[in-house]
Amino acid sequence: MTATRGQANLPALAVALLLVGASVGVAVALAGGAFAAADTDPQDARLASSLAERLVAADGPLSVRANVLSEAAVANASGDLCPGAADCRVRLDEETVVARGDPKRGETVRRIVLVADAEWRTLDPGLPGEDAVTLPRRTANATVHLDPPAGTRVRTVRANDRVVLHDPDGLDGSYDLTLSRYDTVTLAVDANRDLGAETLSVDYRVETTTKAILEVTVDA
Amino acid sequence: MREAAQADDRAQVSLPAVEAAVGVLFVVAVAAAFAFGSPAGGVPREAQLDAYASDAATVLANEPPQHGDSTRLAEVAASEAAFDREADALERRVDRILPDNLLFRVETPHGTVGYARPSTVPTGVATVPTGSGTVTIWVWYA
Repeated sequence: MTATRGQANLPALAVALLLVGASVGVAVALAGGAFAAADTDPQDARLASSLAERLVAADGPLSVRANVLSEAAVANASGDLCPGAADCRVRLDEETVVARGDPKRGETVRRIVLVADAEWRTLDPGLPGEDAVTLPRRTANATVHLDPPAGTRVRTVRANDRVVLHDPDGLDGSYDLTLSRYDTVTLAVDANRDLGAETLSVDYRVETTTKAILEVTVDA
Repeated sequence: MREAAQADDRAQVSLPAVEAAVGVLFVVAVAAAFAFGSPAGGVPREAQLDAYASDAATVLANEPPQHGDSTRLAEVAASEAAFDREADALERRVDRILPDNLLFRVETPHGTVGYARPSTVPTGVATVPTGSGTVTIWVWYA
């Protein structure tokens, strides 16, 4: 019976062993590669994302509000921002803002921010007719300078019907106002007689923003 | 193997070859687990995309409106007419805010702007509640 059925056992065994051996080799190489790839230090990524999160937070060291950095603060930033003793680098649109050490092999997190440049301008309304002045849109801070003529008492300043300054004995001097960023503000002045053209001037803050990519690299 | 084959005698596949095939199958299964199952190191792509989406949402949510309402997103979400008027400006603005290698989609209660959302790539998402509904922003790598 066995003589009539051909079966090349030995060569087949050799080929089979070769196949199994080769595939085991490939599998071990793959596993080695996967372990090497997975063996990165999660500390870098964690530090980078938490530092980036802190920088864009509303109360961050460079922030004006959430995701808006102040250009002046960015210009004055120092290496103290870096966490612990880690090497780190903060870049804004490819320009290095802060660097400590050389974080060559670190992890990078990118965030979108606006960079705000604040500038003060003066509005000298001349007060026609109704003793009111409308500030430009988006004005959040203003300083009101009141200099009423002798015998004139300015009692109240309102911003959109909200009383922001009040003194029954008369307002005279400079006053800082905090206004809403979400409204266009009209300042109205209540006085006991007509105000001259020189009585009121307003300094207001204008903010111009540009978009930028904040890039935080940390190598712990 | 088949030199002695008669009409009723059939040759047989060598048993070691069959065993080897089964063995290779097992080994390949284990190898596949390593190839697809191990986590990549570094900053996860989804985390970075979510950060982009939430940054874009924060920037838009704090931006003053073009015409009425309190913020830009509240304005586009307010009504059909406001959306129709502001959709192009919103699309341009989101396009400008996001880095060039990202595509986006913004969904408001009255319509969407941006690109069709693919189902096969990792996507970052952020939502902003406004007075007249939720605005959702998706971003993904181009």
